[in-house]
Amino acid sequence: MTDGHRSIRELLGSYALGHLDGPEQITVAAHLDTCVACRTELAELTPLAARPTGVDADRVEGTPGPPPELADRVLDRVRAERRATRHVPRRDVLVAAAAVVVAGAVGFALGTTRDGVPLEPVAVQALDPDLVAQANLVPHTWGMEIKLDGAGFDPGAVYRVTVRDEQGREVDAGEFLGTGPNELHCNLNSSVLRDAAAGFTVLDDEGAVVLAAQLR
Amino acid sequence: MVRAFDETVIDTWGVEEALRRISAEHRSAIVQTHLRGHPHAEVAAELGVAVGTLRSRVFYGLKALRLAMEEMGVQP
Repeated sequence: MTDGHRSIRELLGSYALGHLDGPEQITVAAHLDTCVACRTELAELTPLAARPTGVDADRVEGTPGPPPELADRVLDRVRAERRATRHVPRRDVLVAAAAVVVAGAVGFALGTTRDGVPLEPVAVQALDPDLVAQANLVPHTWGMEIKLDGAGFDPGAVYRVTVRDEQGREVDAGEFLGTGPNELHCNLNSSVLRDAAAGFTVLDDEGAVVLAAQLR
Repeated sequence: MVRAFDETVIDTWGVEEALRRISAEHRSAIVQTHLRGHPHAEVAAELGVAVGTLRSRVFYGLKALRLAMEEMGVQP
């Protein structure tokens, strides 16, 4: 592994949390296009980006938790109860996951990027009934960023995102790995400016469109 | 709905507990940048480390958090 790979790898946490902007974000996105190891690592970290919704920083830093063995016993009881009561079909799990995705987006993003740039929510049509997704756009001087949140993408499968410009040209916006029923949050970057973007699509590893959004 | 709310509370508690189990350096990096939303440069200055060091702590902190959650049986 090169030093470049190592230094970019250590940016993946901030990238997964949406904390990078400008050149660093572009550098990481470009590296991800060519590095399977980093894409895999990012896919493991991305679900954590939504987790802090409802988590209280003051409780984490200021309140001592229960002894670990007590916490483990509580969690064991919860898991046992869930196993005993949860016999829901996969569809219901995905609906629940969708609710979490929406809550995560509202709770964490608060409708703006970290620089205060407003997010533009867009309607996303799922052509695969197993998928749930929503997206927000961020206009940049260098192009357009798609913040995609979803669940139900086949775990480990590579999905490709393209942005269609006003001339009907399909421009690559990056790839991501599916995370199954786990929430997925990823930022995809395209060189198409927001005003010139007519739509975007997400394609599965066989090139079939699984998500589509009209942007005008 | 009540069960969904209960599960959310349990999941939230599980994540908070997992955050308590990772190292103080990793926890501080995640809490300050992600939960509190403070700029990286500001947090790095407060901690007396380079921004790159802080980002490294965020990265390894998230990996440690994921591991802690897996060990606790909390779904990442």
